[in-house]
Amino acid sequence: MGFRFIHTADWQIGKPFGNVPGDAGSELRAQRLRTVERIANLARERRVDAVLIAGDAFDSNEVEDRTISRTLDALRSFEGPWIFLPGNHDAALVHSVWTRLRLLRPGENVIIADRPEPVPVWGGRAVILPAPLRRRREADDQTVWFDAAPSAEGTIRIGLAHGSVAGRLPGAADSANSIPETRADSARLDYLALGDWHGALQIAPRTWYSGTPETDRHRDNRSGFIHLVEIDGPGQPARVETISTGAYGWHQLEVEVLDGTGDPAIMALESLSTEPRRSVVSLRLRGAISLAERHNLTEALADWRNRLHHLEVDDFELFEDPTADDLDALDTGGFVRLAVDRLKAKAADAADPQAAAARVALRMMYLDHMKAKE
Amino acid sequence: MKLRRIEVRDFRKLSHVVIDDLRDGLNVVVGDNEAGKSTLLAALRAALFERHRVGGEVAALMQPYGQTVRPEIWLNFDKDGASYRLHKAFCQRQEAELIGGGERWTGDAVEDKLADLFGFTPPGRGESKPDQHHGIFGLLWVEQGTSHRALSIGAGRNYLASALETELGQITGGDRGRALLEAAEMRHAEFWDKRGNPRGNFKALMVALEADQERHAFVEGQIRTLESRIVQLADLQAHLARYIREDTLKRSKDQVVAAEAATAKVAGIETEHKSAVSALQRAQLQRDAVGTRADAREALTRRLDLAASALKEAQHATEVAGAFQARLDAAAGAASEAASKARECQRLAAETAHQLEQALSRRQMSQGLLRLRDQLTAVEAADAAHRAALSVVDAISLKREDLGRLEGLRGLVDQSRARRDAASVHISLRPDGARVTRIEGLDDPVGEELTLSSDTTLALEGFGHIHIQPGGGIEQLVRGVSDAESALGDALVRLGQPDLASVRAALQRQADARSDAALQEKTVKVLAPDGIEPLRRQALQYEAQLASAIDGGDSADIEPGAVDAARRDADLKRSEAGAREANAKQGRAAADKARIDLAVLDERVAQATRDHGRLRDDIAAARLTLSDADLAADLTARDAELAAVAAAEAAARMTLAAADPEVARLALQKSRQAEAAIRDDIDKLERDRRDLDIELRALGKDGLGELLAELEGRIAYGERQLQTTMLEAGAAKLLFDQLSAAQRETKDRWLAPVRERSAPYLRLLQPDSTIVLHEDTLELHQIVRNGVREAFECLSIGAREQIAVITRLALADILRDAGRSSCVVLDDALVNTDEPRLDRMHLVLHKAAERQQILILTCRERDFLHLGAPIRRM
Repeated sequence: MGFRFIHTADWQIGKPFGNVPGDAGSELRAQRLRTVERIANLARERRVDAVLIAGDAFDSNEVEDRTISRTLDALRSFEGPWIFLPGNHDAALVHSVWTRLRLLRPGENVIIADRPEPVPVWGGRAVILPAPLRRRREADDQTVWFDAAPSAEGTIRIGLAHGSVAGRLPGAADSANSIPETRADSARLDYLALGDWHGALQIAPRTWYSGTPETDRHRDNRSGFIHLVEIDGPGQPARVETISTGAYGWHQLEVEVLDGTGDPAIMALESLSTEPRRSVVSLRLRGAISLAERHNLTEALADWRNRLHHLEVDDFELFEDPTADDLDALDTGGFVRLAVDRLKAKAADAADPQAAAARVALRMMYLDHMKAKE
Repeated sequence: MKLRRIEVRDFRKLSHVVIDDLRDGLNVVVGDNEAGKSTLLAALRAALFERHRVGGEVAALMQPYGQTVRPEIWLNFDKDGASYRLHKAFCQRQEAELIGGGERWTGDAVEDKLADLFGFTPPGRGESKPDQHHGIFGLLWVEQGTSHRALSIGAGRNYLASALETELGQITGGDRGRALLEAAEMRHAEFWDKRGNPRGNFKALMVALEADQERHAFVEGQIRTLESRIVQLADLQAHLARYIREDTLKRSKDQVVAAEAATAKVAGIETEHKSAVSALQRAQLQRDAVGTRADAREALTRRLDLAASALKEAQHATEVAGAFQARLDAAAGAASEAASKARECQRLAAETAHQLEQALSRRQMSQGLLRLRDQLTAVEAADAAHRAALSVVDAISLKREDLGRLEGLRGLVDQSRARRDAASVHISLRPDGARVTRIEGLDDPVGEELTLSSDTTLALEGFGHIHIQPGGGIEQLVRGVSDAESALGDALVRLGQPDLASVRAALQRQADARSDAALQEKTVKVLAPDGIEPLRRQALQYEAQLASAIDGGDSADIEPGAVDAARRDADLKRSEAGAREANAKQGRAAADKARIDLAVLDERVAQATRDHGRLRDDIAAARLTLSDADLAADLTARDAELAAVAAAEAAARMTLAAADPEVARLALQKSRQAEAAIRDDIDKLERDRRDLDIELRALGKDGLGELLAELEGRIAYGERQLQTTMLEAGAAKLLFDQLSAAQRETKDRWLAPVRERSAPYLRLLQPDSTIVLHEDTLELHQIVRNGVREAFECLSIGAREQIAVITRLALADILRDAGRSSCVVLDDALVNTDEPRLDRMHLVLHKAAERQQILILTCRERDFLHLGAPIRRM
């Protein structure tokens, strides 16, 4: 049987989710610790030899003492080595979450890899080469030393680093904390465990991002997993099993209303891949809608808001387009009609600074009208 | 509606009035003051609006004053082409009947039908009120004295509004529009306060966001501080690491050790030099000691010589002084002798003078004594007489009052006797012959005249007995006499006097003695003003002095001048003795001083002798210990030794100067200070590091990072919410503004008919005027004259009543066109209008009367004679 370990990263413990108000936000925050407990349980159940955390275990160096203490509690069910690498969020400064964690006297199995020194594991048959960040943005590649790091013959070499693999990741690459895609080769690594990118991804030969085990933002990047890795010996291929650990599904929906009804939005919500109470949804609506449909949609979304863990609606680009029926429903004559016509003209005029307000005003009037009818 | 006939019976002051043949157009009803034209209008209102079963005060007010009758009203009118006849009777046998259009209603149905016909709401109970229950008539029937007020549209508003709406179609939006506007207003109020500032949730959002942003800035600042502290800590650790790496402290310590060794070597040289110096000092001291001794020996020898010559000198001075002193003693003895002789002479002279004085004094004293004795004899005699007189005065205890009282008692006795005698029986006996008459029981015969005051039996010789009994209460008078007599007797006994005369005599004696005593007392005072006793004492003193005086022979021959001469001689002798004595004293003093000087000189000789002896002994003893020659030899040897030691010290000093101890000392000081500085720096770095550690730990504990991230999230969320809310707030405002503006504009159109209808009337009264009603209340609001707006309330009463009448006429036109034609009733509505305007208003009324019926009630027939309308008098 080979060397077996869990590769995880970006726990971001202490992330407050201030933009998710109320209990929903508190719940998301608490879930991160529960997910760590889940990882500990998995490590114990799958009898791994070590758990490697490739940076950003903490959301910040300035988390509360209580947060650090509760994190240590969450590790308890796995008694094997936990090897923490300081990342950009929790860089190993002279004073950091790690210096504070040491003051809390963690167990000996909690190893803080805050120096570029080999850490022997698996009874010395494997060695972990860490590239800790000692400031938030390191201009130089911290993995350089891997290449020359000595190791005994027949030892499995595992790299542990935090940063972006230059030129490989989607989106704008950060020049800081950069890792060359060839490091696994040049340093003769059997596996390079990376953190920073929140999705699970193999980015180069023997080079993996595990992603965050609990999704923390709307980004379609396959987050919410850990890697369970097994390597039989030096030069042997790694067997990587991706295990889902995320409790909440984060969904970013963009719905374009084309037929003047809110149905596409509701359909999108109905077809979420996670159950609604475990879904954190950002819904962006675009297009034009009649007042009557808008009224129905508002009520339907109010219902969904209660069913989902959290729903955030961005409807700044959803335009009310009162139909003739809408207007007739309001009034066919009198001063109301005069006001409606004027508001409608404003709403339709993109150059009018009050166009958006006019749209909302029409919606309001329609709502008042519906209420009065009830 | 057009009125045709009004009949009123027993309604208030109207007993029976009929106004008939009322035409379309203008009708004038004239009634003098108090004729009841206003009552006619009240009767009209009662007929149409009061329930026939109305009771209480409303009904009571319909009764003529002080009567209980049955007020009745008959009203004929046309409405919508049909003729009606209404009859109502109030208070008693109440009754209501309406006949018209082929139908008939009675009782309560009449009131319902009327409400339906005219579109008003009858009062539930009690009195109807024009602005609530009279519908359009509240507006068009103007009571006396109210025409200049605003329109009091009240319940007429809805009819008016609906009439206007009818005219303009669906423009107003109706109830639905009003509801939407209300909702928009509520929405607006949800976001904005009256001043147009955000309020409620909107404001709270802004405030909360601002607070979060402030907090965020604060926390960011804290984090910056934290980060700068971390940088400081890193610097400190780097410094410490360099110290450790370069082993700075140990090198510094080695330098100290080397400097210390160098310093120790220099210290050895210094010690050697020091001991050379001390040997030199010692040799110097020893040489000095021997030198001192030689000097002392020499001085001693010199002092011995000096003492010998001093002794010789003193002895000589003593001899000279002794001779001088003997001579002075002899001179002093002679002077003393002369002085004692002079003193004896003085004594003898004084004695002579004294004896002469004594003799003179004795003579004067014996003469005085003789005079004093004579004086004393006279005084003593006067004093004895004084005391004798006083004893006489004291012996008589009677007083002048005693005499007065006794005389009073005596008077009483006399009075009572006189009364008794007056009441007594006076008997005169004229016996024939010498016959005797006796009172029975008594032997002596009675005299010729007899007064009897008690029962008495007289034995008349030769006659027999005669018993005489005095009457008239004589017993009482007799008793009064005896009482008075015994009172007087008792008083005398008490005073110890036999009778009144002796009392008088005693009192006289007493007075005489008292004046004699006063006389004697005065005599004593004159002779002895200080009393008798001093005189006696003086006499005794003189006697004693005379007795004790030495008998100096006969003093009678002495001349007063002899005494003075003796005294002068004695004085002369005394001064002579004084001079002699002073002379003797001087001599003695000089001798005494010479003796003291001699004693001093003797002591000096003794002292010089002692000094010389002691010095001689000292020098002998010294020489016995060490001879003068030995001493000189010792001194020479010490001088040689001192020179040798001084040379050794000079050598040692040169060695020390060559070793340069200042350099060694400075080098050691520098290396020690360097070591201390390095040690302090390390300590300080360590301390700072610890402090920073503690500070960072404290800062980190609060979870600033979490807080910051949370605030960022909250701010993002808040900004999004605020964006939405601002949009909604803006929309609410826009909606409300748009609806309000639309309504205002519509209303303006809505009120246009009033403007249009009033314009022809106004043109007759004042060209270029417009009436503006309030858009909400439809009340008279403004009048625009020649483009100038004026508030209705600010116009004159006359102008107001004209405008109000015109507005009513215009409204009546609008109502008529809307199918609600009505009669206009004006009860003295133009009383404040001047004549030229009244003429104009007549034209206005004429013009209005072309389209509607107008009933004018007035007390001023003259004003309406030329109106050109039928006039009916009440």
